[in-house]
This record gives sequence, structure tokens and C-alpha cells, in this order.
Amino acid sequence: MKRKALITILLIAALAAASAQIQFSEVMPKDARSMGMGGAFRVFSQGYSSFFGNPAGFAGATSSFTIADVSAWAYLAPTSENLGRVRQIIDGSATDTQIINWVGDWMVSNNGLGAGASVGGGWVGKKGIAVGVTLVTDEVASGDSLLGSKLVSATQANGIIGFAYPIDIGPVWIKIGADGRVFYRVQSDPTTGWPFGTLLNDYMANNSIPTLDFLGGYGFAADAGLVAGIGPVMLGFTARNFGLAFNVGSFTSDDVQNQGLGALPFSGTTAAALTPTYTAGLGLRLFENTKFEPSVYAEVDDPIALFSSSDILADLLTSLHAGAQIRLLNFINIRGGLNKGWYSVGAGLDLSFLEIDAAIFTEELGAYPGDKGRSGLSVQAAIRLGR
Amino acid sequence: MRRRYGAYAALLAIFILLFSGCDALIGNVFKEANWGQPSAEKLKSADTAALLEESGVSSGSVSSTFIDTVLSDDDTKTTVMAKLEATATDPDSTPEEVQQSQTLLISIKLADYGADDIVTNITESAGSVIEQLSNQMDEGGNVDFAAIIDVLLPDTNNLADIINNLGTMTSDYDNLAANISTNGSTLDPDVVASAAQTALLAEIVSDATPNTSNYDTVGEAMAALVEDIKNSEDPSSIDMNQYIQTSPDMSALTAEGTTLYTLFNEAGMGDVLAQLSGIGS
Repeated sequence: MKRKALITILLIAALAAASAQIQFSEVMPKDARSMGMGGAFRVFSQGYSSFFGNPAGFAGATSSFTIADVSAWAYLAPTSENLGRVRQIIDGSATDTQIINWVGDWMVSNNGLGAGASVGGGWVGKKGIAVGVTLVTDEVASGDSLLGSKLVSATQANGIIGFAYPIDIGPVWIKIGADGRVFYRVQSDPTTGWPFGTLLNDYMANNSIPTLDFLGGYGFAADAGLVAGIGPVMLGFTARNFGLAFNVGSFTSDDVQNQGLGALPFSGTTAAALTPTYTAGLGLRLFENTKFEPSVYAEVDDPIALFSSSDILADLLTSLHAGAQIRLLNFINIRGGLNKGWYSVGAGLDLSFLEIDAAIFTEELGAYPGDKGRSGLSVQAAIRLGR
Repeated sequence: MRRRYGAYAALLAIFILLFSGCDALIGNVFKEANWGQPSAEKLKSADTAALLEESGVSSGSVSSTFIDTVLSDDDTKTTVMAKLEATATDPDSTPEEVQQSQTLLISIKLADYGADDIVTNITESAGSVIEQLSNQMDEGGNVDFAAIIDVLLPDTNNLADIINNLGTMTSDYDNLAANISTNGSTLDPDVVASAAQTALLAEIVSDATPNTSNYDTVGEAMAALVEDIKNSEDPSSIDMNQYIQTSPDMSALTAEGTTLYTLFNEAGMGDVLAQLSGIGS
């Protein structure tokens, strides 16, 4: 009976998604742990990370209680020249002309300039039950020049309940999990965004920002996944953002200023849906819980499309995230990876209840590896009891 | 405990290394090894639908790797352009196919003529140049034209040919604008914004006429002007009439129903066009 109900829900969700008018991508955190490993570690996520990755990761040997997990990232290539410019802006020695010039240069040469943040907390129990709340925001300006540039803003708050179950069949272990989310989404028009050049000029000239138009609405989504392994070798798959179509309504920044959160629409008339994503991966985790714990992960976006590809190798490389981590002395993490061919590095400290991580990354936005890279840096701090 | 302090120090060193500049880290190992890249042979045999998909035009930006690959082989370039041209002019093609084919053709031509670097540089620097100009004028000082030229055109090799070729592309932009005007845009606004800005340059070049007693083409006149500004001790003394006989009529070029009007408004840059229409009028 339960299986029938689940299948019915999934079918309705798929139909609803197919008929939706506006497609929203999930607002994913560019957290330092994942980005330091080339964007991998979604399929093999564990504990709190599974709220954004694979719900199968809720099934762990230990429980964890995340009081706060905060990430911040910036889409700015961390070159020595750019860091010098940032220093000049911070110490006030840069002129308005220089700042506008640099902003244009950063936006064009980096294929996007922006920043984002995520904050959340949650409990992942020993028996695979997980409850969490997260808030993720991502703001990116892009364009060929400041003149025609646009700023796309997306923010999503989620309340998540998940469950995962471990099964052992001889030498093979399997973890299977799913979660359900209720979310509220606020964002600019996903296609046209806001005119970034105009916003920047207004801000520099008048210290003010004109009225901004937003879309907002709430919805429900489900994620599912599994990880199977023999000893340290793992294979996994996760499907995210299966959701019922939801309605979004319009409001403006002035409305929020005047009415506060009461301005957020709950009964919009424009249909929207989250775009489902699929990821498959292969991983190797050695000497777990020892003083030298290396792990390697390789994950592929949209693996189903590879079956219809005319050039599987090329398409595999175009969607490949590969990363490795070495965990030393149970508290030092050193990471590296290739995000569709772009280098990434990161490092972190896991103290008794405080975790600090940082990473430098580049992600591919174009059609081919090396086509249109967007670099950035990410920092993360978490207060967590358990691992 | 001492070992922990040693580990902290090592980690701190890694962090400092990470955040003190990572120029060498920004590279793509797959591209360097030519893995996962398009091949000229494959593109030559691809149909238009595959070309449009592989180029990225349908997802909001034309892949520079795709364009470089098309131009890397003369046969591929000829074949690909012929297929796109056929789709763009086929009455049975959908507006989406026509607009994407026209956009891709424009991108290939711009790169083939060597104009893409100039266009990119001008569009990237235009904002800062306007800012510089207005600051210099507000301060009542002389405008440093040579510095502005250096920013806009750091490489002036083959400039005359590039400008002349850019001027020949107005019909491509006219076709794109006509289809958008009739059917509405099916392109991503980013793609239209990019086309609008390059169309502006093409229309300006096409509408200007050279001083024929000194130069045969606008390209030659503009290239000579650029060189003379760079080499002159007093660029403000240069007489523009020696180079350009008639300047572009911006109010006519930007009037309602024109190519620029359609593209700029479709890209959400109608305000910018209104400002441009006042220049030179």
C-alpha cells in the first residue's frame, strides 16, 4: 500500500513538473567541503550535508546535531591582482571610477560576479531520521558588459524531514533514503534578472537602490537516493527536486520595506516548478575513523543523458566532478579536485564541536570543459555535536 | 598537544597560501589535454539542430570553444556556415531555429573577421571609458584620448580590415531584428543584449563615410585616426573631418522600427538606446 502511494506521488510530481511554466533550479550552497573537492560529495554526503546531497547519507553509524552551519561564498577569481583590488576597496583608496571599472572587469572576465550564503541547522539521528531547516541565497551578476548586465537573485528556505535505512546483504551494504521538503522561494525573474549596471550606477551615485521586482511562493519537493558498497568502495545515485508545481506571485522591495514579511505572497498565480537533478557517483573511503583517512569521489551530473550520448567520453568529462580528501589525525582535512576539469583546493579543521573549512574553486558554466569558468572562494563554519 | 599546534600551524600556512593569490589554480586540465572538446570533423557532419545545441546558443551563450573549433578548419567553417545560412533562410524553419542560426552565424563571422576581441574589449571597457570621459570633462581638464584609445583598442593590427568587415555585417543584424520583430524573441536576453551591442558598432561603421580625398574606406580612415591620436602630442587638435566625411546619424539609426531599436528594446536596454539617440543630434 505504501509503495503504491509513493509511486502515485512520484507520478503526480513528474506530471506537475512537466507542465510547469517557470523552471527554477535548486539554490545549492557552494559549501567549502564540496567545492574543495571539485563539486563532488553530493552523492556520498553524510549527516547535515545530506540535506543538500543524498538523503541516503542520513543513515550513518553515529548521530549529529548541527546547531548552526554557515557558509559564505563569493564568485571572484582569487588572483593576486583581484585580491590587491579588493584590499584597495576595503581600505578606501580605490576611486568610484576604479570600482566601477573593476566590477565590470570581474563580471566579464570571471563569467559572473556575485556572492551567496547558506545557514541552517538540523538533527540526523542514529536510526536514520533527519530533521533540518536551511536557508540558501545566491546572487550573480553576469553579462558581456556592465551595459547589458543582469543580476539574478535566488533565495530558498527549506524545512526538511528525511529518513534513510541501511541494509546489509552479505558483504554488500546499502543505504537508501528519501526526504520531503516544504520550501519558500524568493527570486528575481530567472531569465531577465535585474539591470545590474543601472543598480550599480544608482548605488554609487545616490547610495540607493531602485525598486526591485520579485517573485515568491511556497512549494513541496522530494529527494531520494541510495548508496551501495562493498567494503570501502561505494556506488551511489541521487535524484533531487521532484516537486509539485507551485504558484509564485509578484511583489517589490518597496512592499517588503512597508509591510515586512507580510508582503511575501502565498497565493500567486504564475505556475513554477523546481528542475529535477540527477547525480551518480563512485567513491572510495579508506581507513575510516583512523588517523589517516583518505577518500576519493567521482560524480556525474545527469547520468541518464549519457546513455543517449553520441560521444560518451566527451559528455562524461563535461559533467564530471572528481575530488579527494585526506583526513589527518581525525581533525585536519585537505582537499583537492577537478570540477569539469577546473582545479579546486580546500582545507578544513574539525575540532570537538567546531568545524572550519575553506576552498577555492572554479565551476564550468559553458558547454565544454574550459569554456566558461567561474571562479570563487568559499568559507564554512559549523557548530556541530557528533559527526 | 604540541603535535596539534604543529598541525594548526601547517593548516594556517595552507590557508595563507590559498588566499594570497591563486593565479596558477585557475586552469582547466581537460581543455589543456583536449579532452571533452568538440571536434571539427564531428561538427562538419552534424545537422543544424546538433550544431545549435552544441554551440550553447540555446542555453544563453555561444561557446567560444565551439566557435574556435568551427574556425580551425576551412571545410568545417564553410559547411557549418552553409547549414546555418540554409536554416536561417528556410521558410519552413521555426522562429527559434532561424534566430538561433542567425545568432550563431553572427558569432562565427565576428570571430572569423577578428572583430570579436575588439567588440569584447569595447563592450567590457565602455562603462569605464564613459566614466573617465565624464570625470575629465567635469574637472575641466583635457580629455586623454590616447589613454582611452589604449583601453578600447590595445591591439590595432588589421584594424582597418576588421572595421570594414564589421560594417558588412549590418544585413545579418537586420535579418535577426526583422525576425524578432515579426515573431518575438526566442533567444535568451543575454544573447540579444550581446547582439544589440555588436549591432551598434556595425551600424555606426556602416553609416559613416570616409573623407574620400584621403581614404577609400571607413576602416582605413578609422585606423589612421586611431594611430594619429595615439601618436599625437595634442590629440584635441586633430581634425575629424580629415578622416570622416559624415558621422553616423544616431537619431536615424535608433528610430522606432530600426534594427537597433528592436534589439536594444528586446534586450531590456531601451533606456540606453534613448541616450544614444541624442549623441550627435
